[in-house]
Amino acid sequence: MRWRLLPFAAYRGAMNMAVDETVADTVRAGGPPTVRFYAWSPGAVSIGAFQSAAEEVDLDECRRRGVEVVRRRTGGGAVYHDPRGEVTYSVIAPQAVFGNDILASYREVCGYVMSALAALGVPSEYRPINDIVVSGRKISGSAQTRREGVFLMHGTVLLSIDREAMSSLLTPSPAKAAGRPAGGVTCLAEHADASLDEVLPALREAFLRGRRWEEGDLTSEEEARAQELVRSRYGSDAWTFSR
Amino acid sequence: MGPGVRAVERKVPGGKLLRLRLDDDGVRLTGDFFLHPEDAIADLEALLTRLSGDADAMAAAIEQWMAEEGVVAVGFAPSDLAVMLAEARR
Repeated sequence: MRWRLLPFAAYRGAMNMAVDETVADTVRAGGPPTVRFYAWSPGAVSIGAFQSAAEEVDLDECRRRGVEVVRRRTGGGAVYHDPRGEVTYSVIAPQAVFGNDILASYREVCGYVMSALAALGVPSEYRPINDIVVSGRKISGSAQTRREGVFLMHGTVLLSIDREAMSSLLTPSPAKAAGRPAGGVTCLAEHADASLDEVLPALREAFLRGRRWEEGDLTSEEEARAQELVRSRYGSDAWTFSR
Repeated sequence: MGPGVRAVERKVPGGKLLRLRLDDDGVRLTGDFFLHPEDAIADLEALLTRLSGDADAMAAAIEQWMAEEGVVAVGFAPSDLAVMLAEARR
């Protein structure tokens, strides 16, 4: 089995989620398991599959700042994806590759991120269910879905933090905020002097270690399918505000 | 929140945030939890809408439904939903 590594790219939020779903369709049809690293441009807030946009996001502030809102197909919480402050990863493969144990697969893929952080000189810890922390503060969150035999897990690695934007755009409930570690969030820039050109190879090495792989682009069919999913689902208010 | 609308929020220790809203249309569950498959949420909400009784009995019914349907929750347990639903119906 030869894996595909898609080139690093920045898309709008709806397209990022559409690419993930499209690649999952490709894998389901027998195509290569795929890893991608990407950014969000313009900045966006993604909300979990079961969240209410109105409850989690200051929609007026998003409009004012030109920040898009997109609903993921994965569960989990709301995330502000700063266009310059984050690398997001997706790993999409037959479910058999990661097995049926959901928590074990979170631990495994989070382990790739921790390995990359360690290579950059930043020791980190896995905090179940789906977080990675550095000195008790969250640097990475993730979410996964399993649909019709395909495993998809995506997650963030914070490079830098715009705390003002994050706190202005997200409106977590007091109960949620109270459950967070006292330190809150952190980012790579607070622990290492590493540019994106250093972070990406570290992530690539960690995610693809021991696997046969090659770089490959989205096919033209995948591009078209993703654009269709932007129109029909991820870019539509009916989907975004469905809960 | 209008009359007849009950909302209960629970941060599961070591787990996720659940918001349960009960109104004339039934139960709506939101939060940062995980449910596999995700499409099962509508059926779960329909089940919660039908359930009544004490929390232990409702927890058992939710657990049985999840086992029968192959639905897996991550970040909460059936008993969390049952306690919230009992509170909303109180």
